[in-house]
Amino acid sequence: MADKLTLEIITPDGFSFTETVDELTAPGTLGEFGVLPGHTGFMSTLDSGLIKYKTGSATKAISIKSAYAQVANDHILILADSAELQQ
Amino acid sequence: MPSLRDIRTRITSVNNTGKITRAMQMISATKLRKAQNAMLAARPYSNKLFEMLSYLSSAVDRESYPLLNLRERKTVELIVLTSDKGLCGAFNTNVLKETARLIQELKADGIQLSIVAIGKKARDYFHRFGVPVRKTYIDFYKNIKYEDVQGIAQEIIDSYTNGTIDELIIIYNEFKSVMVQTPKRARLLPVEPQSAAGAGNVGDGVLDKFLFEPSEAEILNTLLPKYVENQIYRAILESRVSEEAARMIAMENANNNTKELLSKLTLQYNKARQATITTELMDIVGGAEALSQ
Repeated sequence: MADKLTLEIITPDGFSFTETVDELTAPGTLGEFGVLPGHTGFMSTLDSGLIKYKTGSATKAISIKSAYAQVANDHILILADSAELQQ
Repeated sequence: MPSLRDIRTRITSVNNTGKITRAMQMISATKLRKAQNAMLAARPYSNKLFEMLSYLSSAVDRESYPLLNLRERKTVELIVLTSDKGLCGAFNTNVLKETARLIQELKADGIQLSIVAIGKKARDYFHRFGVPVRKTYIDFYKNIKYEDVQGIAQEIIDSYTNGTIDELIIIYNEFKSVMVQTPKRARLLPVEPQSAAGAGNVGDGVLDKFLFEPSEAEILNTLLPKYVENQIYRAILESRVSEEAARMIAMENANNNTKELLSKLTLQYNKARQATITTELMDIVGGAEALSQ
């Protein structure tokens, strides 16, 4: 079992972002959820908000607008209307 | 034979036109590159969205989703994509001809039409022929934002869900290459997932493989409008690329014509000049002859 997740965010404006992360929290429509490596196949709609992810000890965030998330085989695909890296 | 002065004015005017077309060609080339980049940038999103959609829709019952449900065609909505500006060859004519053909076909079947014109050329065309247009959008090509398209799409999807229209067809210029753009009709509503390359068989497995939150029905219900939206957005981007390509080619042809015309005119000008010089010389020689006698 891989112990890392690949996070991929794509928007129609051409913003695309891929990173290997350890842990991720996303604002699902039914409440925030976390994803760790080994997560089961999962699909959800996301509210606008912040996606937080952890790489090593650093935590970073990306703000997104109404999106979909798909988790499959430790690969997280997020299709967002728009996305922006938070500093 | 036109006078020297006439030819000179003509040359100046052709030259000036040449300057304009040359500049326009260069601008189109730059815009083309930009538009092409935008189109390419939008592609991964569309592909992934389509993938997700076909996964989901292959496993569900079409009947229960209004956007997937086929129903009797009574009213068809057409979105016609043209440019705002001219000087781009047959770009607009092609789309408008195709639209006219489609309108005829639909009218022959006794189907009601409702037209959305995007671009000034489409608006003017329908206005000229007295075709009622439900809505027009002009002047938004320069800076297309996804949100603008969302607005347009949302309105159309609403009228589809409440039964005002039964089908949505979009007509635009498909970008095949810089040299070739062909008008294309695409049916956007009801959505056809085209059982995405045999996804039909894996459908059931997919639903088992994933957990859904809130539920697959709800996800699909939000995904479908998004897909339509995205298709419209893509068509607009593609139309813009086609427009710039068409304009670039048209301007290139114009440049070549200018060059040809200029060389012809210059030749004519030089001949006329030589002719006057010759006549003058003859006069002088004749005069001198007369004096010496």
